[in-house]
Amino acid sequence: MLFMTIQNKPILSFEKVSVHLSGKCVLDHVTENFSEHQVYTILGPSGTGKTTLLKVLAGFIQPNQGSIYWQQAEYRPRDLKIGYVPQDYGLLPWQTVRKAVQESLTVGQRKKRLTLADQKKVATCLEDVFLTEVRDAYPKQLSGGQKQRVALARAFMLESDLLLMDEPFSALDAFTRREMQQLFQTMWHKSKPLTFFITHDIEEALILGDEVLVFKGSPGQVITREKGLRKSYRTEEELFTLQQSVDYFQRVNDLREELKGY
Amino acid sequence: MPTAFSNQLGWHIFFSLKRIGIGLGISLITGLLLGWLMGTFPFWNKLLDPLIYLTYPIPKLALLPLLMLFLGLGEGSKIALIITIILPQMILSIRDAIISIPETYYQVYLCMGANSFERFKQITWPAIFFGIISTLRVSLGIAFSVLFFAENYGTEYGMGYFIMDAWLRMDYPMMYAGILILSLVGLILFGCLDYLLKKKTPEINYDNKQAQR
Ligand SMILES: Nc1ncnc2c1ncn2[C@@H]1O[C@H](COP(=O)(O)OP(=O)(O)OP(=O)(O)O)[C@@H](O)[C@H]1O
Ligand SMILES: [Mg+2]
Repeated sequence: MLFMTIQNKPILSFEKVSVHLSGKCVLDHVTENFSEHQVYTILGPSGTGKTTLLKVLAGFIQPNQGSIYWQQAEYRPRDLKIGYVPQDYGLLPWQTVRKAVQESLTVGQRKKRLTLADQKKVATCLEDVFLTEVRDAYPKQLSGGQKQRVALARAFMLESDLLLMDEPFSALDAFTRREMQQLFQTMWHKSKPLTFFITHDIEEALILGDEVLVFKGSPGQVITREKGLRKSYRTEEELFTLQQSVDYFQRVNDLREELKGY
Repeated sequence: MPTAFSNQLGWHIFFSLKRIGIGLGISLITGLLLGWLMGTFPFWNKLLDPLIYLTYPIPKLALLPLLMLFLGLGEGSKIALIITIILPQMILSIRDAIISIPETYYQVYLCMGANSFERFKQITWPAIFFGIISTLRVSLGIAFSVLFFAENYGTEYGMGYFIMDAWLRMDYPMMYAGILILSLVGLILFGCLDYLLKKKTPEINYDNKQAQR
């Protein structure tokens, strides 16, 4: 667990970052390093500042103390491209599926006009997330899983430096959720952005993360970081076998214990 | 009888529409600017909203003599009367429409790197469009009724003048004909607004709503 952070040079570092909201300390002296091309999943009881951490990274909240560095320089979120997937997806009711995904190119990548190659890229992306048929539909006409896929497609189309996801799959049923996890994996591999992924699902955190961060306490702190299983399987069968192992059960149970007591 | 006023009628309608058009136009631009300021920056809201609440209940017709004094008996005071009556509700509806836009809409775009113009174009404007048409509709209705006071002096053109004039001459068929024509003009304008709204908000299903209510 430790050697991983030494092996990869950190691209993002927190140094004693504290956040107070309405006079209440929400994050307390967070000091952590994060490496490029990694997925960090975040677990923790409600109210421990997980969303707050994401908002700090997104630049919506300024830390009251401490500093954040990006490539050894001061962290300036507005200079980065950040894919942000809020819990409610944040889709605009007046944008069709295709328009929403295109916006990542026109707004995010400052393209005045979409070239033929760009249009093809959008089409391929929609194909990848199985939205080709509903590409002209508005959010209201989509199912929960479809909306989630639009949000994913939009975020990955951006080819962002940083991807922030706040419990993205928590509103989906178990089956759809597993599909989305797979989709997330395939899409992620195309641009490999540094990703922070909050979840309440222990297994999801283990399966999707290179590392699992556990938040605890009020004010919140990162109490442990442990290796996730993202690289330990390639196919669904391998994952299935992995999930049958005693070791896997043990880890899920340990994490569950850890999350229990405040 | 129809020929008696048909050659003049066009001008009456034209002058009324011109006054309403300029009045609504100026109000809309001012309303958008102030409503946006108030909906976006708490400072402006705190500064302006007591002012609006304070002046809103003043019967604006009572201001007519003042408007006449400062702006004369011509077009200026007529248009100003329309503006003073419809502007407050326009500012307030646009401000409220802006305030009620969910924060996450903006957050996603901020993270993408959108500048404030892009955020306005892609989020604020489409989000308040419905509210704008809605407040325009209300304002249009009010503006029509204001015509009767505004076109009561210093002019010989306008539907307000036309109807009032017929009334004073006790030419009742002409008076009611005028009212009917004014209603028809209103119908066409409201129809245009509705058409524009439906055209620009294809995401809203206007036909299939009652079923659930
Ligand atoms: N704008 C705010 N003003 C004051 N306090 C806030 C604000 N936003 C969040 N908090 C407080 O900060 C703490 C952490 O909130 P946060 O949303 O980060 O928790 P979380 O870990 O994401 O919880 P959950 O798992 O329920 O989403 C909570 O106690 C919350 O009450
Ligand atoms: Mg949260």
